[in-house]
Amino acid sequence: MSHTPDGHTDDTGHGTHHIFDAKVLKQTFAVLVGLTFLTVILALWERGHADIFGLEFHFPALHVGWLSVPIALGIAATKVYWVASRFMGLKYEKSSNVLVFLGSSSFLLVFFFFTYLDFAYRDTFVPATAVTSDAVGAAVSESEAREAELTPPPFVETTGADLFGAPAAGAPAADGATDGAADGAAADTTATP
Amino acid sequence: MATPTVTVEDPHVAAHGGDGHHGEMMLVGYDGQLHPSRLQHHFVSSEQQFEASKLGMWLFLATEILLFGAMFVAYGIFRMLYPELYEQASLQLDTVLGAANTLVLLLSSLTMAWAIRGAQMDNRKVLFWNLIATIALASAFLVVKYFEYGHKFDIGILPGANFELDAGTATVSELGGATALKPIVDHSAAAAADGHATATNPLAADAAAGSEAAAGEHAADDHGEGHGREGEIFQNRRAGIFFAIYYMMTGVHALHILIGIIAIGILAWKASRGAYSSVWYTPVENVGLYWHIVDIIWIFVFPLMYLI
Repeated sequence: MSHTPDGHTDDTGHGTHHIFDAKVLKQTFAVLVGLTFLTVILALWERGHADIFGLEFHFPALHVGWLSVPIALGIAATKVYWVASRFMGLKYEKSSNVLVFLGSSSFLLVFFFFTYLDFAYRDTFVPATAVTSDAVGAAVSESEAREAELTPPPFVETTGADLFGAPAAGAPAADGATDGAADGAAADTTATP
Repeated sequence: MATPTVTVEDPHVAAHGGDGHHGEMMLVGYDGQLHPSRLQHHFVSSEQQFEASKLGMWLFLATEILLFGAMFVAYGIFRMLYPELYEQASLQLDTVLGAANTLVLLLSSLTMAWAIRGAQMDNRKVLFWNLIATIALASAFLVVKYFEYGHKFDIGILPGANFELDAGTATVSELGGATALKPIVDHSAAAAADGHATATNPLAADAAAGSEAAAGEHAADDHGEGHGREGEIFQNRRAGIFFAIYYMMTGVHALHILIGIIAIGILAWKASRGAYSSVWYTPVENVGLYWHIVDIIWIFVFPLMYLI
């Protein structure tokens, strides 16, 4: 090319159009490919086995525990930085476009954060008192236990037993029925608390 | 009203006294000055018009980020609720094919950026052939995706309630959950081959006993019915959740690839007719931005789905 990127942009008044540098583009691609291999190798290493086109490989697994998600996301975010800054040219751009990109990404984090709060702490608070439901539950079970201690044993009433003579017809029976004669004859045992 | 038009032939003559628009159709405006024909009257300059157009594209990309963002949030919340489900399910996805597709998309991003570079340097050949290469790579991505989906459908990995659990596995509805995941009997042999997994489930006791005999047959017939259906995920009652998210995210992403292929196809057609030059290549730039955001989304989808 007869005109260099710099000369072209300066002379013709095209303003700040950034002309992609071939070297930067190739370099960016190389970094992206490298990071892709890195994240795949780390994931397979963590599994301890790999199945590549039908070939099975087994090797000692690398245990990183909960770190596997942050590591994978960190590598992905690094790749996105390279794509956005070089391929999309945000590095050479006005800040308004950068603001749109970072702004929408950060609202995504807000979106996730509050949804996470909702799901992670759902049913753990009693709304009216803002006391954790665990504490409320503990108080309830404690009071129930105390109530059980204080409650006298159930009063056992044996109907039909001849304690005070045969019950007269119409006299109140244990269960409040008015046909006491029939109840009395049944001679069943009921417990009233 | 007939507008007089002038074409400025030599950029560098014009550059020293004028606006430097080489080979571009110019219009004489009401002020008697030459204006680029692409420049709309409400913009001060081509530069301002280009930047405004690009800002509009970025605002559209913000809505794209939020569209996929909702799905990423769904992914994150369900991962938080059922972490072991995700670990089991991601083993069903082919890491090698996913990684290959990642490389294909990265390369297509490079060819797209290279196409824009061609436009910026007035090299129409570079512009055209890089657009064609981008279309070819995008199509390759979709072909790989097609085979991935086809294999999953074949072995009963379907989204949501259609996920085919191994026979005898209790569904969520049987356990009082809201979602019904229907168990099937087709793959009972594969289920019984594992033995312990189904035996621990009281609801599976009958089925496990019934298919114990079939297990022997299955072992001999390695490429039979149950081929590919190995893993705990087929006894996971909530497997449908992961694959619903997987199909939704990759499906909407594939739709974006398809739209990108059409858009780049139009660019290539117009580029072949010499529509774009270093003076005016706004559509190439904006479709390029769209293509890179599709790449960025895949950069997150790939590790989240295939790797962890």
